[in-house]
Amino acid sequence: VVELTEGEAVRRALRALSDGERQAIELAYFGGHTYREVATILDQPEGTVKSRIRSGLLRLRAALIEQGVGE
Amino acid sequence: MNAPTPREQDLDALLGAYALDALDDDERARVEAYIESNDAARREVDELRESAAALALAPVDDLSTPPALWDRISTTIAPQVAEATGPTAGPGDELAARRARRGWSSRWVGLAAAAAAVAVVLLAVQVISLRGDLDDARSPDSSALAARYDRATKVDGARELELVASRGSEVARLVLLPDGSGVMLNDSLADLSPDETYQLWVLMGKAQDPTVISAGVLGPAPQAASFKTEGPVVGFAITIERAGGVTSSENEPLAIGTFA
Repeated sequence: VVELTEGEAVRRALRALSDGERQAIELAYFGGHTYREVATILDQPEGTVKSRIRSGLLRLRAALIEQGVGE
Repeated sequence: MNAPTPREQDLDALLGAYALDALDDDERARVEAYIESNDAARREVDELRESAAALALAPVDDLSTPPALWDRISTTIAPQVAEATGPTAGPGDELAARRARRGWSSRWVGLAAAAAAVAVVLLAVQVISLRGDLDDARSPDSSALAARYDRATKVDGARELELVASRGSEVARLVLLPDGSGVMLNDSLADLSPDETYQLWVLMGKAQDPTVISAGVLGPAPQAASFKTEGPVVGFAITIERAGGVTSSENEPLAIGTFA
């Protein structure tokens, strides 16, 4: 079940990310773009985007665990 | 432990994009070969995928990407994708093409069309603010869940939908409110093993060519779910996925329903 407590936890975890991390992840996940496409869209180096996606997901996981979700 | 080589560092940097299924085919193949032989990379991918699965629970109205950026997507990416996918792909087809490459196949479209005859019940009884109730939809009390569903159906403009299996029987139902929030009730979805989960998908855009987006992971034994959508919803579908859910499914939908 999509429980709102988890939804709210994800919302808070996303807010813990940098703008660059959050935007790269959103475009890749919700927009369905490759990281190369995301780099084009954001006019940023591909290396920056793939690093932000990775670091953002790791920080997202850490933030969720901190809230007691995902362990 | 030896320090990672430059090649390994390069592949490690791709693990996040791999977990989001945001790699080109050749890079995905390279990463898959890499994680087959690297335990640490495989563990990291597992962790990253957990984060990716959690994104399915993110409230849609909380996305930060500004509308102007989405406009840039259509103007920037569309020509490239159109070139890559052939002359039939026109402006605006970029995401459909992308998702098609990821495994969304025409079978979804066909099933959606086949289910188009599913009855839609439009209720306009009275306006009730259910936002707070829907935000608390998960509850061990099944009678409370049913009560919330019933109240949601009475909201002005609420739309009910039956999700029907291929054999023709209704397995779940949902109500979608005008603000994009909704509640789903399980009627006859059987419990799955712990390593599996039901996943709810929302079909957006055109009924004949929907864009399919995860609406949330339902767990192996769902009773009810609350969800949030944004934009023109044409239907919903349910698949069975591995525990934790997936960002895009290659499985046949177990049940599907579309609004008339």
